[in-house]
Order: sequence, then structure tokens, then C-alpha cells
Amino acid sequence: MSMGVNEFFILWLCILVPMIVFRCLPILALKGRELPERVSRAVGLIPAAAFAALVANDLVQPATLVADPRSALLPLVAAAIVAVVAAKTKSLIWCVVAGMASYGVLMYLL
Amino acid sequence: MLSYVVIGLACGVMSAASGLTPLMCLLLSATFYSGAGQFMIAPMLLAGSSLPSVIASVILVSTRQLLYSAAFSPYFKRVSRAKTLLFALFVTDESFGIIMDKFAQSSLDQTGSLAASGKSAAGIAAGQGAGEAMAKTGGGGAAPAEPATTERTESDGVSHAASTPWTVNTAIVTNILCMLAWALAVMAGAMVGSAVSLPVALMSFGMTSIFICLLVGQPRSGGTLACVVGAFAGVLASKLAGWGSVAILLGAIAGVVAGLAYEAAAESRRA
Repeated sequence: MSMGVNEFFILWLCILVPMIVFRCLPILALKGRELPERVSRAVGLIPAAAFAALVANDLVQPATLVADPRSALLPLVAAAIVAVVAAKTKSLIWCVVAGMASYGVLMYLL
Repeated sequence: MLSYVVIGLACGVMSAASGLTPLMCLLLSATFYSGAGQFMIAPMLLAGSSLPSVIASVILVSTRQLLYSAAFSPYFKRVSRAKTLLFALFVTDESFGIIMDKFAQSSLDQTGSLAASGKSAAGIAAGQGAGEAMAKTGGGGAAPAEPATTERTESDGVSHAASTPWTVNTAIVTNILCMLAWALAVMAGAMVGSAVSLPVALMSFGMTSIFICLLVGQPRSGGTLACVVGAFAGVLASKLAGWGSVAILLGAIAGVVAGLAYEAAAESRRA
């Protein structure tokens, strides 16, 4: 399917405007205020929670696990390899290379 | 930075397959600028989803930026409104992880002199004046760089930045350079798009790998671990309930709640 220019602009505007609001509103609203201890603690936990949720969203596939266990387990194995590379190298690029390579190899093998 | 280019190329190839032209890709990447969001658009369009459903899903997934924005706010207490906006406009998953890391490092360096205030933000703001000069040497060199030379400058920046605390200026420059690298890579990917065909799952796993790396880089503590467990449980629960499109947001919130609960429990045990 191909996308028309008009459709593209509708899509673009509809996702861009909320994105700008999401990006700018909290930082402007909260800056310059003393946050209560509990809130600033919660804010400190956001990075770990956000990345865990992003990873989980890509790895946890209950529907696929039931229908086709192999293809649901594949990303888990590749993710374990990436985690080892991440702990060893702390390098984004090596993680991407290791991730895509191991995913590709596993896809070929299974 | 280089990882942006790799993933960006992959995203471009995919976007082209879904019917976006290279110029559309450039516009989308430079403004909307969200790897995860853009990776969602292509498969949904390919699968024939209607425009409103694509828009709704992308907006829901974008809500996580609310959390990032909130997390940065303590560091921007004494930064001007215009600068804060300039920074906030170009925050995305990866740059959030990297910059948060640098900011946290800077505030750690400051805590020695600031006698355990617990308000790391004050540390950053106090370091700002002295840091301006550093940003000029570190970030200033990179600022006028043409996109073509971006990669070299940036990899330099990252290698010595590991030991250097970051200022808001450095962060703004980094954000914009990353955005340019991303936008150009996606456009380049879209231009060669039709010549290459790689499975969508493989390409988006590059994105997953980045998130794993950023997650592994988080401080190792019980609170973090509780966060991770909570987030995974939250995502699983959301998906089982059929709320897949808000799984990231609900998972992240569940993670924060679990982390807070753990810390509260740890504290009461100590008391």
C-alpha cells in the first residue's frame, strides 16, 4: 500500500502535536518547583522502569507464545545475548550488532 | 550515534516499504523523531491498518515521553524557558537514557561539596556556570559540524564525555546532532529502501537491543530490580488484558510503583 501526500500530512500532524505536548509540558510545569521527596524518588525510578517496559513490550508476547512458542522464545534468547554484551562492553553499537546478528542467526536456525 | 545510523537506515528501508517517500521520512524523523513510534507506523500501514488506528496507537506509545520530560525537570530548575524547550523538543528514548546518565554522573560529582542535599538538581544548576566553559570546548567544537562530519565529532565527544560531567548546553547539542543523524539515516534508508529487503522483526530488534543496553546500564540496586520486575509484570498484564498499545506506559508506571514499594519496605526494615 502506498501513502498519499494528504494522508501523510494528516498522520504527521496528528502524531506530532501530542508528541510536542508530551515532551514539553511536564518539564515546563515541574521545573522551578521543589518536588516532595516521594515524587522526586519516583521520578528517579523512571529511567529503569521505562527501559524495562520498552524491553518487556518487545520480548513478552503472550499471544505468540501460545500460537508459536519457538518464535516467541527467539527474541528472549537473542535478548539474553545482548544483555551479556551490554554488561561486558557498555556500548550501544555493539549491542545493536550483537542483537541483530544473533536474532538473524536464530531466525535462520529455527 | 553510530547505532542511530544503523537503526535509522533499517527504519528508512521499512518506511519506504510502507509507501513513505524519502522526504516524508526526513520530515517525520526530524520533527516527530521517535524510533519506536516510527518503527510502529510502517508495519501497521503494511498490515493495512486504518489511518486513525495508526494515529491512536502512535499517540499512546508516545505518552512515555511524559515520563521522560518529568524525569528531566529537576535538572532544569535554573535553565531558561527557551533553552528548556529547545532541549525538550529533541528528547527521545535513547538520548533520554544517555543524557540522564550523564546528568546523574554530574550530580554525583557535585554531592561531595553539596553535603548530601538529596536534591541532585541543585548540584547540576550550581555546576552550570563552570560547566558553560566546558560545553564550549566539548560541545562547541561539535556545534557547527556539518551532518557529514557529525559521526566523528560525536564519537569523540562520547569517548571523553564518559568522565566529564555534562551541562545543559552539551545535552542540547547532543540531542540535535542525534536527531540529524537519525533523520539523515532514515532518509538514506528510504532512498535505498526498495533495493533491500530484511525481515521487519530483525530490524526492529536492533531497537530492542538499544533498550536492553540502556537498561543494563541502570544502577544495580534492589529498587531498580523491583522496577524491572514490576515493569515486566505490568507489560504482561496489559497485553493479557488486550491493552497492548498502552503496555509500555502501564508497564513503566507499574515499575515505578514497584520500585517505590521496595524502597519503602527497605526503609521500614532499617528503621
